[in-house]
Amino acid sequence: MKNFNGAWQQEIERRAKIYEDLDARNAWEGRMGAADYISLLLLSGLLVVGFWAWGN
Amino acid sequence: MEENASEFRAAAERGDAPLLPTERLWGFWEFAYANTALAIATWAFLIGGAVGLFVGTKEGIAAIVIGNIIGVVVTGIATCAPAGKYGVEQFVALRSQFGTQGSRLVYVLAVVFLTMGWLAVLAMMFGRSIDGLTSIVSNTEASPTGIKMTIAASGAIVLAWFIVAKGPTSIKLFNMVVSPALALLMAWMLYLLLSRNSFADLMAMQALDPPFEDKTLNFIIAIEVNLAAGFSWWPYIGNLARLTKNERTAIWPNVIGIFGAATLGEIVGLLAAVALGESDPTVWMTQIGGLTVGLIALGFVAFANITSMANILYTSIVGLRQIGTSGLRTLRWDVIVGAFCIVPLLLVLAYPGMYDGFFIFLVWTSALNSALAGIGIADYFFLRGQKLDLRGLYAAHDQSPYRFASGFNPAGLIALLTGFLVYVLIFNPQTLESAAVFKYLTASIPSCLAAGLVHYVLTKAIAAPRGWGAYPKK
Repeated sequence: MKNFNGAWQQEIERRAKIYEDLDARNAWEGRMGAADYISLLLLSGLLVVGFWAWGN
Repeated sequence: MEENASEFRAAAERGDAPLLPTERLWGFWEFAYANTALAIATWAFLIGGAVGLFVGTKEGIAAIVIGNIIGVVVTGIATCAPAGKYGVEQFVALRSQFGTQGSRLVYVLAVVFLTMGWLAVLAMMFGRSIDGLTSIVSNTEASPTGIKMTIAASGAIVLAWFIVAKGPTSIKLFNMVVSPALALLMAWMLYLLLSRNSFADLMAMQALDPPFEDKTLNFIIAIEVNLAAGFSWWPYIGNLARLTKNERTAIWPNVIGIFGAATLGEIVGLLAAVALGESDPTVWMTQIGGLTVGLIALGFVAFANITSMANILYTSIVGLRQIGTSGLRTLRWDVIVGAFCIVPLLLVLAYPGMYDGFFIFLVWTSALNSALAGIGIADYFFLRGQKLDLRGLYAAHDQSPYRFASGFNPAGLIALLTGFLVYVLIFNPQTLESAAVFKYLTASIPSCLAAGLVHYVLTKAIAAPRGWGAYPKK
């Protein structure tokens, strides 16, 4: 099983460490922040309310 | 050494390991284009036509926008946030919610059944397009469930199998032609409709076959059909989002690509259906612009259907190999693809009426997809604080913290069942009967909320105290 041979496990470990490092340094680029989620919510809410009022 | 690195990268692209941010290809607009290409498909005409059965133009457009924006945004957050952050394959990430074995079960329920159903519906649409084409040419009456349709639909499935068996290159070639051409076709249809009817007349058109006298109830059913359409992206968009550079580029383009393109296609389908008095695109296309336009449109729709079929068949088989047993992975690619096509073929032969009631099948899928989206959000955002254990996700079953109880997470599975039951108790897609609450909440939204809530509570009560699933202690 290729997935569980040594080299493959080392590769998974290497990739996991890169992500751990990003996490430790809080160096995520393009992270969705509260402003993003609130904007998504507002956009959805506006479309729902606006089209409900227009169409119904 | 270099050979190893490229092999590892290729394996990561296939989903065997998380893609690193530097290995990911798509920025905002690339993902928006890929999303648009996925969403501009012939099923948009079908869904738009189905909406026209329940409500007139204005209510229909409103229902399309409302249902799709809610479904796409909730599904996008549930599936694309972890994929965009960690570059993990969607069904690998699902191990954190359902367990190493439970994720396989969910894959079969939500992806295999859904794809088989869509393959059958699209094959029948292809068959009806060919039947319509021959009837135009020979000036005879079309027979939508006749032998010509059955033979052509069966041929479409065999053709899709042949294309997918050849591999992804042939699918890419089809996509490069079909997506832009379908966008042009939609614009052309819109132009034809607006040139023959005033805008005011179009907006005033009524429903083709409203099932109830209560207009609000019909409107909510139309919203429910579109919620189902929005949630039906659940099996597909997470795996596209893992190719994006970060979370923002994984989530926001869904609003332009999936929501925008699907909404446009559905509105064209709705307008044509109510203006021409026929919900079936393979029929109204023969009426919209005369013989030549009908021939071109039907021929193209038949071709586009093959592309859509190849796309969903390919995506499902890739995922199936990813979550499948080692025995399954040893099977030849073309054999697995062929085996997958047997059920759609049987549906075409034994159940040709499925096409006319396809929205019933679509709405049934929402009973699962809406619950899955709710569980995904509860697990990733509220229970895990947006953190996954990558080593655990890719570890062997007996070493994985995501093995839960013998590979199954009872909290996730009970939550999924709860969401499904809540859905069918509120709204029966088969009979369109509904509980009083349906008119105020729809069925997908309570199903999504109930599944998420049950997953949260059961995880806190059962899974986390036992140390299952590597949930954070605090």
